[in-house]
Amino acid sequence: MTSIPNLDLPRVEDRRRWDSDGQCLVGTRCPECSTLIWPGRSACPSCGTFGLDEAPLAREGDLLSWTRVFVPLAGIEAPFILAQVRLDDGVLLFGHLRGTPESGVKRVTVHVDETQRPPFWFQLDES
Amino acid sequence: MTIYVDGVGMHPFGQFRDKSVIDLARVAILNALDDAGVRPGDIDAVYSSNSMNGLLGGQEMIRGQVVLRELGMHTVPITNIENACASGSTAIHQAVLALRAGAAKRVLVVGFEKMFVDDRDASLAALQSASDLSVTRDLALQFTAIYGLRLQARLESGAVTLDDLADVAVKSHEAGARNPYAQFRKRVSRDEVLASRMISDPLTLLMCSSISDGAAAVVLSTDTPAPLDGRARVRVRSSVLRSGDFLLDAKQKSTATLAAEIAYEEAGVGPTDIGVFEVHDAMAPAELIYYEDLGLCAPGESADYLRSGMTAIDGKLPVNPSGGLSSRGHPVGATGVAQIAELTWQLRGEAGERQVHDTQLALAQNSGGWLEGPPAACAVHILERSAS
Repeated sequence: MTSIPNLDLPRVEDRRRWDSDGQCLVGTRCPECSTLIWPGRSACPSCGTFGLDEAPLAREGDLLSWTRVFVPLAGIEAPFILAQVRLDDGVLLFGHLRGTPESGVKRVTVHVDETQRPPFWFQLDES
Repeated sequence: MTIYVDGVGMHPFGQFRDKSVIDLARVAILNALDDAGVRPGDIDAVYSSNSMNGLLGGQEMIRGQVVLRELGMHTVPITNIENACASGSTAIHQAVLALRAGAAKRVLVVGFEKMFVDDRDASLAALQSASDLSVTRDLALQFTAIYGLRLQARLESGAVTLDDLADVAVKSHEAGARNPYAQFRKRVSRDEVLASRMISDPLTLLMCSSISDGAAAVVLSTDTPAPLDGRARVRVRSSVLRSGDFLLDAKQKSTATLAAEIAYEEAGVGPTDIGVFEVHDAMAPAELIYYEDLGLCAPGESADYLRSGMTAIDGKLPVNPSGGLSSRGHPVGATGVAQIAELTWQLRGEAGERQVHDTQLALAQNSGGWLEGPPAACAVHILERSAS
């Protein structure tokens, strides 16, 4: 027991960032203004409300932009594609993209596999 | 209160394998003190900017003191500043705040960086730490890719062409070729730019800034008498720093726009009143984005603006006459200070072969770090030449 306020808040490191069962990312939702954000925070970036709720994010979204990177770094083989995506619930995300963006396809689905690196990516809906 | 830029100095940017950060910073500081006509004992506070000498040099703490004691500055308050690629402009901003607060009368700002350390992976890893590593570590994030992302969307929409992207790099190299402080001093053609190695779609090697060594220094003062030689004086009209705004909706203004709007208001001027710009073109074509963000042209019109020739060295609104980050070089902690040095030379008419037209107002924009959308920091400074 302690008398120091907020000392027992859950560790930030333990906040979930993805859910492999649900194949989605997990962020936080503001109980006041409903703003969703990833990764999750303690306070809402929009209205400052403290104490946000864990929230699963949309599984699908739109590809905003992409770039194929030809320089390897940190053991990840090049080339690979980095992308900016806006999920259908409005959250702006950045991550690896699988597929052929030159195809013009803009719809993506989130995939999660914690045994892989990176543990989540966007798959272009090309089929 | 009027804040003056009394002196500026640089060590050239480039690859200097045999020089330490002290060797680099010493040249910039001595040149700035000489330019201001002052000695170390005349300085009553120092703001020291460096981003990477902890990871790359092992000097995690008191980096400024280690450099400054070499030059006899050791009892005045020395504040160490780190704000990724915006460290230099952040240090300038802190110096301005100290002067405005009356806490100092004459302040030295120095920015220095040594990125060539014979370990490319270490340099790239240090650069990656300008992001939230808990998000980016597994993504192999490189800053080239961030600019690639921003430009790819504009290419796909038809707002800019590959030739436009290459032409900005040609323009930057032309300026760098004229700048004795620049890392890259070779003119290049559009074909050479497009044929160089692809780094991150659509950015090729000749569009990108490299790792770099270098230093820059500035002496700022307030309420000091005008120089007797009648030389033009440069004053600070605006100094604005903002941190990353989370772009929760697509229509939100960029951090650079928000910072610039405050800076214009502080100075009581608009973008078309400014005669010369130094912007944060870590990749040359990023200039196009800043034309729009800083209000030089309307959104979506940057390509036409470039093609008009307005932003060339001999244009009406020259942008990056130094060669910018992509050609002058981008030793991270020195860049924001070097922008102020360049614009001071330009306003005084001392920029030699890269001198732009006679103008009274100049703007520097320097961004740093990245938070999966916005930069982590963005500073805008407006300088004015006053009639002594």
